[in-house]
Amino acid sequence: MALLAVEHLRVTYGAVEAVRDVSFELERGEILGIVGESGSGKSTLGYAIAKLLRPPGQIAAGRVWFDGVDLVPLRERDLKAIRWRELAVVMQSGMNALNPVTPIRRQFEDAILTHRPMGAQAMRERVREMLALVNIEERYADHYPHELSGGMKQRVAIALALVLDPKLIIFDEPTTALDVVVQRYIVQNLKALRARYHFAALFISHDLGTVLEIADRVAVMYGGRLVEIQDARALLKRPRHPYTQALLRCFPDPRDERIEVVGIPGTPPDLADLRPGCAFAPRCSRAQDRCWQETPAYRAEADGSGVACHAVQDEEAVHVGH
Amino acid sequence: MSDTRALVEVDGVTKTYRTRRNGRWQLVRAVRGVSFRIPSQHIVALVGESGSGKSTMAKLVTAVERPDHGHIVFDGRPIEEWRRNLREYRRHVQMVFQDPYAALNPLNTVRYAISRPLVNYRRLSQGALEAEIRRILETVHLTPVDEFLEKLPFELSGGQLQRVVTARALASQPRLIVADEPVSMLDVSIRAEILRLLDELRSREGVSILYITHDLISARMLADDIVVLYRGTVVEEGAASTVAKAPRHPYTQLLLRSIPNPWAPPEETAVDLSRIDRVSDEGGCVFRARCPQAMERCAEAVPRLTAVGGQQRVACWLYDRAEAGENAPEGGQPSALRPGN
Repeated sequence: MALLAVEHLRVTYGAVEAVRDVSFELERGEILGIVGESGSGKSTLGYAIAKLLRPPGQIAAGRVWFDGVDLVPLRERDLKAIRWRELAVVMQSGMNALNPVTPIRRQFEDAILTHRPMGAQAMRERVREMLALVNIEERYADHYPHELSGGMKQRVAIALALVLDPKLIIFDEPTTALDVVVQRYIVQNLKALRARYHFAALFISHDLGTVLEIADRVAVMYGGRLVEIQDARALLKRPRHPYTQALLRCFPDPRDERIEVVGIPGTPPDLADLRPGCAFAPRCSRAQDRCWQETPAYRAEADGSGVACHAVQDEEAVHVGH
Repeated sequence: MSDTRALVEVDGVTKTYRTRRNGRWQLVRAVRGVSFRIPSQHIVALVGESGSGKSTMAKLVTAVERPDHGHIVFDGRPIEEWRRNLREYRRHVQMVFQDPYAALNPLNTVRYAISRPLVNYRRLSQGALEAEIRRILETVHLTPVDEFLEKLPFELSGGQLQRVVTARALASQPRLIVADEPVSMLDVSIRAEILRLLDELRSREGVSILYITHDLISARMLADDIVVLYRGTVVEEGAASTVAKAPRHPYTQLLLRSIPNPWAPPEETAVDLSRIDRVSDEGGCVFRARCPQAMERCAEAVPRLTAVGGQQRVACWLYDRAEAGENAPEGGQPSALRPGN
């Protein structure tokens, strides 16, 4: 059984449908990258799975099976038993999610005492261990967050998410606000931590380059929908959806002899726009008449990949037919 | 970097701020003896991370801040002279900011935003004003113009807003545009159009651009020259393609290695994690506490920018072969070396 199974999830903010019929599965210990630009619905998806949506945001339909339990109907009281212990979240402003008036150590202790109490000596040892994991010297445990740099705070936030050994961590743009060297550090560190703690993760980011480095599989979102999922290495070599292909071209290999300035013509989609058809059609070089009328269904395949594009599906159907 | 007079010459500029941290006054040496030049119709990128002093440099070049030491010369006249007529200076030196959502008044239309500098700096009115608004919007590709003139900022996308901000900067017919992270808040897929626009402005309108960024790759795409800053110091400079492709300073090398690169095998991008939080003490090389190649000498004296081939210059003891003291007379040094700065 998959650790997480999202089924036909729809999230609305009033009349705006931010997540539109999204389904995917996440295996235990797997890192799934979720990539998209502004208005893709990627962060809303993360918040919905963690049941952290704020009104008027709400789950309009669908299920979120986490370890066999559907989180959608659960109340706050029942969620409390799951959050942090089983499912933790690290946000873009994770560094600002730290309590500014509480020393670092207390924040770890509060989490431990609330969710999985242990003795003072064990707790001390645990805090030391967690800080060491993200390469922070123990003396900083008794500092306040403002005494740390942004990169150190984000690492503390990651250690804090890990402290109760959760099965799933949702990272929402965890590296976006950080310097590039610190980003590299977090990516490298996260891989090492996963190897040791075997947590599964959703790694949500606009940065396809980073996601391709860290994730096992990558899900690409556009206009609130999933347009493609593939194994990270396969996606790097053979992106299938025209949007994925175009987005990948925006991330040049820094070692290339020549680097061209490449973008995608047009404007990112407006989620308030509820017209039928493929949201990428206005920017797509392969758009046909049909793409403006009929929303392509996401077709999942047995190996955990899938694509939602008329042109790709037609083309591949022809190949299979021969 | 030609020998002819540059549009902007920055020479040994220093800026120190006093801030209160944890109840104690501290000196933050944001810029420590920075020199570079922007030739006419060139694009120079200042590349650095947070704390590099790149935004302070933007404030100094735009005359928002005054340097403590050193000089900035614009079009042959020192900035202190320009200060007597700041209005004239601002006409020649305009800015494009990072956040296009915050740079425009939400209550004003595109027409109004573009018209203000045309009225204020160029005294245009009526027919001439209308024609110039249209010409500028066409220059930044906000076409058909009639679709954009009466729009309010909330009706435009991030990329379109940044075009409006750029159009407004162009309106006074500046000779220099200082663009401080102009694409970092935009979606990756629309960054290219703004970078291309800046490049067009250089070739078609003849403006020079100081492109301030944390992103070595976009600097390589857009700029002629790159100046790499670390903690207020120029550590490397040269032609953009050389600096961003074959950097020689250990810091620039770390920066390049850190860029997300799923194509490279992991061992090519792996960085040493143990020194990341270290900060060098005063004196010596600013990068030495994090430098994997630091030597004893690095703590003893500040390395000078040394030519390593072509226009590429690096401030690092690995390349500075001169014996300390021999080629380093007092006063012949960049001001970063002078005590008391």
